[in-house]
Amino acid sequence: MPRVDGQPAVLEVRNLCVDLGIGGRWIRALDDVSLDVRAGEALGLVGESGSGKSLTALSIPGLLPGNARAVGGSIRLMGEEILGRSEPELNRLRTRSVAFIFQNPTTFLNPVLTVGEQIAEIFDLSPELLDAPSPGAPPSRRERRRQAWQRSVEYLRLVRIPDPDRIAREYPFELSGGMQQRAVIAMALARRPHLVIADEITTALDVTVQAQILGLLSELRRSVGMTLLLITHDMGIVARLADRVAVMYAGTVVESADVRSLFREARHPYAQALLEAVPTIRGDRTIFRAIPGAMPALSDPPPGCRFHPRCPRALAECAAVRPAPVLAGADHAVSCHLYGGSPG
Amino acid sequence: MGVLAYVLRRLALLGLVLLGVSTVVFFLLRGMPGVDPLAAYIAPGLPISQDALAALRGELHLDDPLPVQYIYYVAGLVKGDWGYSRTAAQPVLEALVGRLPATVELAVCAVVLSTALGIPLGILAALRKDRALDVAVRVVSITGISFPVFWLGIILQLVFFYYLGQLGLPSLPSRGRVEDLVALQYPLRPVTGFYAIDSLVAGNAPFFISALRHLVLPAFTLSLISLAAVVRIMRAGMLEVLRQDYILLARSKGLPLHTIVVRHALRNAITPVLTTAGTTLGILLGGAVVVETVFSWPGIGRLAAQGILNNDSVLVVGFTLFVATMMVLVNLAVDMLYAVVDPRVRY
Amino acid sequence: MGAPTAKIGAAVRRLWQSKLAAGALAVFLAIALAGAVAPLLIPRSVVRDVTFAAKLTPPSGRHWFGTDDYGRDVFSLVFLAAHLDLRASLSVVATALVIGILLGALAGFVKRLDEPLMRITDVFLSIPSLVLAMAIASVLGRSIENLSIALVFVSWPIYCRLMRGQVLTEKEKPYVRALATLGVGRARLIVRHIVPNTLFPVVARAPADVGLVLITLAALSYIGFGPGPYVPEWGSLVAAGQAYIFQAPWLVMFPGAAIFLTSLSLNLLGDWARDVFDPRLRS
Repeated sequence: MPRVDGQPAVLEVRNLCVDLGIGGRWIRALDDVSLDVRAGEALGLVGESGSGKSLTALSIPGLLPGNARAVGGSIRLMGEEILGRSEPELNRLRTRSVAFIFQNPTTFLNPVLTVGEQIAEIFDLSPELLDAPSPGAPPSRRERRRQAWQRSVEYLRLVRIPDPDRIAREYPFELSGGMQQRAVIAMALARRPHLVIADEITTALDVTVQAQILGLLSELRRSVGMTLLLITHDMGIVARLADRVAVMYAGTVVESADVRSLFREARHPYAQALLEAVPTIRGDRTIFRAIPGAMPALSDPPPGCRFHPRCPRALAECAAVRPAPVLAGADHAVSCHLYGGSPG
Repeated sequence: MGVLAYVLRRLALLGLVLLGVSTVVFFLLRGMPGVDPLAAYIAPGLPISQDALAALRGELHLDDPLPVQYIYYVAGLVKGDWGYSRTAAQPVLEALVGRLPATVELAVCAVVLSTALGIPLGILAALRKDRALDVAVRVVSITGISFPVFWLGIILQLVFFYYLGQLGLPSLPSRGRVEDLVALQYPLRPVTGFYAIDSLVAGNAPFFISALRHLVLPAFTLSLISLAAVVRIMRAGMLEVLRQDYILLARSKGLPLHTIVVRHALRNAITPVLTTAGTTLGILLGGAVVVETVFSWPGIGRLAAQGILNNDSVLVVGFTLFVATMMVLVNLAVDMLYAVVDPRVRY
Repeated sequence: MGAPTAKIGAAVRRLWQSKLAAGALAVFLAIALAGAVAPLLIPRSVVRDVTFAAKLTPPSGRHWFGTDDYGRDVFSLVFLAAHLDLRASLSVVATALVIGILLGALAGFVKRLDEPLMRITDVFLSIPSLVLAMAIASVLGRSIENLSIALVFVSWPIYCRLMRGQVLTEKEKPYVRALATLGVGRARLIVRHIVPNTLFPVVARAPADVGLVLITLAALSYIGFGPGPYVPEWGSLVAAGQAYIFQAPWLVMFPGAAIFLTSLSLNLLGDWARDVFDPRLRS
């Protein structure tokens, strides 16, 4: 995918292929995924469930599940290659470079540790995030502990948790879902990472809380300059938060563009169908347009373009040849034969 | 205040259980059809006068209806009158309490051994699931459960006492708590009854060493019972916890493995081990009866075994009540430990 | 809800697949078979006759397991004891199962009986099994039959609790409600639907418990509850042999090994049974 304005990319994923071991066989779950996230921007990664968005996200900090393995391509975070790194090296990256926010905060917070402890332990790993009391003199352990706790409380305040001193001393089960998610966001921010990955972070919350969290993210992006990889199936969230969008289908990226261009003129038939499927209220009726058919099983993908069985505008070559990404406008790439996606 | 209310609630519940146990025990002593309650008090073959019999009947209120007898019985228990043991030639409670430190010393060593070995082994087996270490641990664990304790004790005696002695190598003693010679030459004034502690505090080195040497084989034998169980449960608990989402989050923070295991996983995984601590203690106490017999260890278990051979039901039944009380107290301690480890329990 | 026969079929298939469990079953059956035929093949004179000339001889071609202090063939003694021990353990567990399942089902279905039954099991479960068995047996008198009775008392509470728990969960399941609204009678519901589905996890414990009862029985017998020298039993054989342990270790080794092998195979079978019949415990 070409780069525009020579802007530095925090994350560059190129031709990533990931296999899943299911039922004794290796199934290609991610096939040739490529995307960029540039400094300071928010990239929305959208797709239905099963499209491979979470898997893509998990590969970045090297947190693929035990039965998955990356078999090709490259992931470069701040210029450093991630694939093939050892666990200690990955740990270093996870602490300082990339923070992951998961979907369901309740199960992702440790029930026996207080909220504050779970944030403060980050500073144990990266003492450089704390200040030394005086230059040249390393802080004592007690001093570090105290500072770590103070910082944790500050981050809780940053995510708009009321009475952060008290909340930091409480256990996760004492907080509401929204507060738990804010705490997890605070944990992510405390590392001052180069990249924050948010995987369906509002899906498990009810609508009003969703809106609050999205508002918080919006504000944080402005104030802290957060670089965000936002994973969601909800086009509304994309419209609100993302600068650019990448659309995934059945393990591959089918279209990517800046958010305005995508919403105005999506090229790929799947992306178009996705946008049309968003319920709108026109006049006094709500119109639902579903996409006929279902995502193919990963174990038996259709040949050629994976979308062609459901595509209303499929061409003959779609069933035979996989389309390669092509530029179809400024910073707007599409993998579709309709736009000349044939290789060579 | 959550903790206090919790403790009181547990105490009340356990008090009820003790009451129930005393009912069972009372029924065993007085209410068994076809069994003469006086039989336990009379040494077989020894002549006893009618007057003495009548006096005994009066003392035990045997002519009163059962419920009344029960009240007298429980009142007696509370006052400390648990009957008189022919075997020990002492009141039952006194006999048991006097020999309790020996058993506790043994049981504590066994518990320490089995947890010190069992918890790390269980954790390691979980971390290296299905690899060589895990398989070995599971094999040892199931072998441990299937091994008859008395047989193990005898084998250990054979190997470490007899064969080593035969080969002229330093061997481990197979009987008692301390060498008689040592006890005579370097007498110890028992304070707590725990030979290891008392001799250490008194600076009595020969006694201390002898006591420790005598502890090795019995404690090791006894620990094997619980070791197998601890390993299994720790492994299962750890595996369960490692699959949890919060472990994934901890990993995503870049925390090193040892931090994840110790700070995040262990506190969650240890609860099943605690839950079974009560039952494990019960099994240990039962095992103590056997181990003390094998090694001639003068604790309450061996006393009870001697009581059996002597048809001294008063002693045996008193032993049962004693053990039940100990288990109840330990369960209470475990419950309180729960509240410390898992904050969710306090509410 | 899986039909019971289908579950059994699946279990047999799993057994075939797991060589360990299959091996364990083979060992156990071999011992059980030997124990079953032992009284038929071995004349009682072996136990009663004392041959001082042959006392305490080590294992040889003539006496595979050696002889004891009465000059008796230890091999015969061990297998005669197998008969006694296995029959006692199996009958104890079978009886405890029946009692426990009946009472547990009762507790599950009849709410008024639930509370008192649970208190009773609480009391029994709060006393360690060996200790309780000792107490009961000491009051009844020293014999294998009384030991067995004592062990039944010790074993039934767990089955009762398990069964009750199973019944309570099963009762609430949607299919039961559905069948009830369709007019299926209570008795029929219980017998044809609820019970078959609840039995399996409870019965799955049985093999391991037979092993446990066996060891407890042998241990109590070792301490002194055992039958006299003329009724062979593994635990009392070990106890009798302990006096001669240094000169004639085979007296202790063979009966002890018999207990160990039997218990090991039963525990392995128990693991397999739990894997198959009680999926809740699967990792």
